[in-house]
Amino acid sequence: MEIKVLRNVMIKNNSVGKDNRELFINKKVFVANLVSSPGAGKTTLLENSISSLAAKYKVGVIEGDLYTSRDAERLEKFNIPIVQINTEGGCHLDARMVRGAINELNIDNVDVLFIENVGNLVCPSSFDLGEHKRILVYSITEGEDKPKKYSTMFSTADVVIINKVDLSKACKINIDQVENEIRSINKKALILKVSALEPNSLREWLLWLEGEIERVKKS
Amino acid sequence: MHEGKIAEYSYSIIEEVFKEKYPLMDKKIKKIVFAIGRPHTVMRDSFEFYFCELTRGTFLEGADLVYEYVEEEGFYVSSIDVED
Repeated sequence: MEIKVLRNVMIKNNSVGKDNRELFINKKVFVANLVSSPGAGKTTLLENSISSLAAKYKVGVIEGDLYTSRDAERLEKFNIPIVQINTEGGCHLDARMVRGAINELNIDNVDVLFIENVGNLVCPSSFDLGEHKRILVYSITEGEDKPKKYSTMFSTADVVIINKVDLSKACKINIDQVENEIRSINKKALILKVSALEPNSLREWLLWLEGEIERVKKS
Repeated sequence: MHEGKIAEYSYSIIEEVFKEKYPLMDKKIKKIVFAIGRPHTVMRDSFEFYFCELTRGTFLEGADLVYEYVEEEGFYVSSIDVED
């Protein structure tokens, strides 16, 4: 006997993601999910962002990593709440992992929560964590051709941060071409160009972040 | 590797549906039809490897796995075929 099921398997993740989102909205916590390939500069961006934000806002971080706590250790100097998730080889964070981490954080005492996902341009694109915004950090050293190769990730990003723009000449990369490639896949995303090592280049990113944090606080 | 997680979710959905219909779980599932939607971010071979490992020794072991491609977004458990 045939039994029709017709259920999207991602419902299992997305229902927890929805619960996470409702919790973040109720608690007025702005949540950013940072995704990228390995080594694109997520942690450096976080270091210099937190350095600027911490005086004004209460910041929390959920760190996703296959096996180590190296990124979390880099952020310990800020004396902020950090929860480490080790996926033990898993290629992405899912909503249930984030739910567990939220339970460890005192979210009542957080204005902005950064989730640093596992470095991977494929799998994290399929998993809604309940974040307000998905931030894709793209290193210029990855080349001009990757946006179309990893189009799902680029098409689902709210913000694309083109990082390491100071290396474009050395790597012979045309930044405008990268931007055009991204724009051909995602017409709505905010595209920013930065060098995360240079705090001065983060001004527009930090202004955008502050706007989002305030918007969620006042909602 | 997200295919491993998708195999887990699929197992869980099939178990829920099957238990609801047959609380004693005393029937065998002959066939499962999955629908792979766009974008095709699920590798069939990889999914099948994880699914077969996951279902070894369970009520789903040995079921035929059939795939159809659809335009909708996502990965679906489309239907299950239970022995009479």
